[in-house]
Amino acid sequence: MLSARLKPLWPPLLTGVAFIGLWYLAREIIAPERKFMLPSPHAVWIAFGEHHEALLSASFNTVIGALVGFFAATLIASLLAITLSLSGLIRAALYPYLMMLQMMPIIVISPILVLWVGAGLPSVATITFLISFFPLVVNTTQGLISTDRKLVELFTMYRADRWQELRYLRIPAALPYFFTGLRIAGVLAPIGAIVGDFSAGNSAGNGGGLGFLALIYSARFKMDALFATVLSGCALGFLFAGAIALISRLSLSHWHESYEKVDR
Amino acid sequence: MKSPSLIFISLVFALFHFAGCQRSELATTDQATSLTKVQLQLDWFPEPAHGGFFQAAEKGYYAEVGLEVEIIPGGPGGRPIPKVAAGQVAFSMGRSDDIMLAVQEGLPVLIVAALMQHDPQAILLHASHPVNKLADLDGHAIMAYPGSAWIPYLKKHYGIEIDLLPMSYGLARFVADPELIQACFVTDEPFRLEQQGTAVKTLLLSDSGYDPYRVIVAHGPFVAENPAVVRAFVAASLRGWADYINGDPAPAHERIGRENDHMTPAQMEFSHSEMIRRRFITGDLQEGESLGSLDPQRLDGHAALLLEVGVLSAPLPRERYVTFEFLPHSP
Repeated sequence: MLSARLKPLWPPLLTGVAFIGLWYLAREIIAPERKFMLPSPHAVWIAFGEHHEALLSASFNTVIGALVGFFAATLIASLLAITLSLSGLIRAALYPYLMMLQMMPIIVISPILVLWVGAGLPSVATITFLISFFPLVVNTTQGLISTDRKLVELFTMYRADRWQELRYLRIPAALPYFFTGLRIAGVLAPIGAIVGDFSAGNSAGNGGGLGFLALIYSARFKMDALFATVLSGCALGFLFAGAIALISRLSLSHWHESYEKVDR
Repeated sequence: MKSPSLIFISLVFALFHFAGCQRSELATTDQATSLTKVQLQLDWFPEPAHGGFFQAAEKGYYAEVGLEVEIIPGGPGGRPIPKVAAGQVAFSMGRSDDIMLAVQEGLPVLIVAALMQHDPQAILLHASHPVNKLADLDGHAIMAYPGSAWIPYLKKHYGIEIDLLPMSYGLARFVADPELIQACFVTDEPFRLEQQGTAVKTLLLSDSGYDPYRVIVAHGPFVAENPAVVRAFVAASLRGWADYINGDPAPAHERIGRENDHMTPAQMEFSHSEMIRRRFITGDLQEGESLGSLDPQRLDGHAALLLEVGVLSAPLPRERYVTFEFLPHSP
């Protein structure tokens, strides 16, 4: 039973081992004076140990920034999606501007944001918000307007009012779409927080995140610690993705058909 | 199976990139002119702080010693020291403390001459700001390059706490916020701000006793294999600097103006006269300083300081990061 459950683990493990092997091989091949560009896997491992306090505290700060921006984006995107679902006219009027929001070059906007909301957490959270907002709005809106026609007609037949239709039909039916948006936004959120920190962070009260730490390690030429910082950022992405997958499973698995096939 | 194979392909590409040996291309001889081509990576957009190199190029000093020097502009995020270390260019410039850090981390770079006897880095404040000396910075946030070695030094030397904001490349934030404190080049930002009506004051970092050189740095293996090229480059560059400081800076300024649209003649004039007035390039003759010279004791003292504040983790032998064999007057 246990071995059957562990079975799907070996392909990714094998890929990992092969990847680390190639990494070591690469170190063997490159010219000696260039070895600093690619620290060995064990040097990165050692850097994790050596800098674990700084990495943990910076990861924590990045998570806070990512969570604040992500929750704000989820809340506002959901409300906006409901508004957008009400009429095609509203969608037509607002959609191009939502696209614009997504296309804004964050690196260029960050000096302006710093002036408006201040350096540190406010800027970091705002940048995370901007990055995670769009996939949430688009997917949720799509979900709200894709309700099964027959069910809508059933609700109309029973004289459900607009609110009841939304509450008991459209929103539940939109949840799988909403969670798809959440999954995309969730992976983007830590990246947004790190980008924000990189350009608009603040070390005050030990508040620097992974972006800030990357600047320090880069200035000090600590390539191994820089690799460790990158991997910490990846770990945060997995953390967010995992948490969202869990929430999505908890709220959908008892009724939605996409989860019926899981154990097959 | 898509992503593992993608990773494999990118890794193979990375291998080729890393393994590609560009070192032999760092100095190539042009058959037609019989000049040896080398590259100098600037640490910022062309500006008067690079004046001597442009002067040497424009007045033909490099050609006289058999070199054709391509001067490559820098900019935000373009980090010259790793570029030299990787052997992508032969020469660049930086602060002596940065070179020590790079060498500690195993980057093959070597200081071959001083560029400035004293570093023009300073703290920039609005004229109305209550802070009047470095020790007053306690509890304030400074916008600077996080990781700069002078930050832990200031903290320890004055026993103060400083918060940091990552550098934004521009002065809009400074102009908008009368409380903002940031790092600057005393030869550059103060002028631009005064020009547009913002009254400022500066606190020179070297006044704190933290006094690194600005230096010319070269790819380590290149120095070992091409000492004649390095000697010629250092001599012609220093000649360019001497002429830029003591003679007419017009040839360099014309070229800088051509290559950097944002450099006005008035700004260049200001930077040039500040470098002379504050003796950044030549230093103080009375103190035994001169153009290009490096004092081993001063470097040792600085390394000891970095060790004391924990930026260096172990004593760094001098010969690992500097050579004196190309200096005009060997110490």
